[in-house]
Amino acid sequence: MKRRFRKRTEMGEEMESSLEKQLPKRAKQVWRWHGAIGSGVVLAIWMIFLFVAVGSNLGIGWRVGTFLVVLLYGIYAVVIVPTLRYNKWKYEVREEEMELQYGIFITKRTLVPMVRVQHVDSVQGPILRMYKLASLQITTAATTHEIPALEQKDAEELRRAISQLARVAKEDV
Amino acid sequence: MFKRKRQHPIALVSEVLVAVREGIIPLLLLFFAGRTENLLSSFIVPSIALFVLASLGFVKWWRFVYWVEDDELRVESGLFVRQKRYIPFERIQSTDITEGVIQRLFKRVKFSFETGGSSSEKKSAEATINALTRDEAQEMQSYIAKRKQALEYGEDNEQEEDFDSEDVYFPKVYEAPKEEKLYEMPWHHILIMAATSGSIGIILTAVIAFGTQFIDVLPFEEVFSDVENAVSTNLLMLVLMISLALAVMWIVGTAFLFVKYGKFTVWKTEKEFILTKGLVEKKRLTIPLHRIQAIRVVRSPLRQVLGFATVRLDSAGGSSNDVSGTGILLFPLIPTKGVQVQLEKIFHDYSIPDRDLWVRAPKRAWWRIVRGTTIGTFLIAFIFVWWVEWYTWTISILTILTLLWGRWIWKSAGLAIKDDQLALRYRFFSETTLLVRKHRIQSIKVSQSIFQKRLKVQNIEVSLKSGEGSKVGLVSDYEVSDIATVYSWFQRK
Repeated sequence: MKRRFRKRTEMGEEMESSLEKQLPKRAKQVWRWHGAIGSGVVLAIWMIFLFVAVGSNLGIGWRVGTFLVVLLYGIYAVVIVPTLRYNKWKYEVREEEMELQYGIFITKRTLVPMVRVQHVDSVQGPILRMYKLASLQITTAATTHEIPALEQKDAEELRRAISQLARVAKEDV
Repeated sequence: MFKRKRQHPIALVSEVLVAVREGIIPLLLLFFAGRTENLLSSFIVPSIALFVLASLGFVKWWRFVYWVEDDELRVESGLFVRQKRYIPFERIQSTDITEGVIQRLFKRVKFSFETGGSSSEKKSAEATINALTRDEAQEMQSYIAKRKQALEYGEDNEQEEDFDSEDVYFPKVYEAPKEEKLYEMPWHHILIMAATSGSIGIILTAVIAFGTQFIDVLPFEEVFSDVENAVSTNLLMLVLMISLALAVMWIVGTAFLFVKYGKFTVWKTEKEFILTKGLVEKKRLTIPLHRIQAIRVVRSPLRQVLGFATVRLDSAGGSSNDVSGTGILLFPLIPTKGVQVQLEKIFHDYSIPDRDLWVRAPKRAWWRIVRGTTIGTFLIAFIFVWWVEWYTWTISILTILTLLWGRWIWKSAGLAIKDDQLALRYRFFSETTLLVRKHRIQSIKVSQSIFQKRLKVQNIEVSLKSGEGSKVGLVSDYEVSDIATVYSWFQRK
């Protein structure tokens, strides 16, 4: 049986190959907004920090330095993260299972058999709605998985399809 | 029959009340912060806020629609974040009709649905309709039940019992059906259990810590300065007292274990097995075989050295105390050698893989794991030495210990596939061997950090249902090809 493990070395390379489907390009825009909102919060905290420190003799170096940190964070959250995330996100929904692949620094690949799916929710926040996108949340008995952005009509269709595929299963939990 | 509709307006009242309750503290703050000489103007801002909150409640109510279509219960809701939740009837495990105070006033009921889903974080039902007439709820309930049965047509009648949410239970009356006795824990094992349980260590350290504190606090010199040789005798007394206290605690703890686990017996009937335990209060736990999700053989370092193990199992659903996160105790303490034999007696489909079936983590992963444990302890030790000014040789000893510990973690890791069963073995302190069958795995996740990518190793995480929540089994730093084998074993494609 050990041989069974070693023999399939080719499988290793096969899995390295990524999945077919990508998220819609506009997902990047959505994440830019998320990043911008996050950076806005950080900026606000920085301003409060400055406001509090007004009386103290805080050197100009400190002010500029901390601002640079805030700025770098903003660039990271608005420019870098959305692009990397978009490039990494792949998924595939097949008849019997679905696969999700994502993660910037730690690549993750999840495999969920359809028979394990309990129900599917489509969730749409204001920013997603602005871009006519929606996210899907897939719940099994133990875990919840998310496809963060899909074309609105694709999300609907996929939700229905997964729901249909999932209900075929008669197995216990 | 069940058209798309909103809840009865009475739900609006509770929705508004909830919205106001959530905003009441900021509202009060607003009121007190904005208080001026003019009483009227100080009310304006809070009133506007209150109005906004109330209208939020209204929109929430307006957005909430539910109906039944295509054998699905459909609920759409959400103010800013819009959610569509369609639950197939087959997935609804139980429905519940309740009546709150407000509902009762208006002759309405609350109707909630549960599925096998629900991640551990959320405790509430999968879907709740807050206000509808009792007739409608009952009609819907029976309709769902009827359709569900029709959809599952072809399954035999026994299977229907599966949807009884009280599958795992303690009946009050003890009666003996045709049960086959499989295993009874010998008395002397309870003694070993008491001696090796984690709590004995905790008691020991607590007593020692307390004892040393006590010695520091006592004004020995003042008390004993008069009678010089009394010092030594009294210290002896103190030591004796502490030992005595320890012994008493150990005896009490052991007695407690005897009462709790005495006569621990495993029985088996055709479709379920039964655990009975306890000397005073006899507890009985019935577990349907088809509910079992996984088996875990756990060995703490001390028990491993002595050749003993604990076997737990994860079962789906059930809400009794024994079915909490830790799983059900199947064998509280059993000789490691006997585990396989006992498991075979109960299950024909779970077995601990033979030694040569286990695949180990590659050598190059060794350094990764050891580095992790070593750096961690080293940092802590360094700070300690810095502050407490211990001798530096403690660092070297600690480093060696963590090196060995890291090596132990690496050496314990194992992965084995046999037919439909996946076995994972991993340790932090205690070693866990997880046995799970393919169709019980909810999902599999493979992950790889950028550092792992360089080394060509990956982690694999298996999610299971356990009790009301979930459990994961995780092995790290395995050869990419080995992980791929597990992945493709699970794949249906």
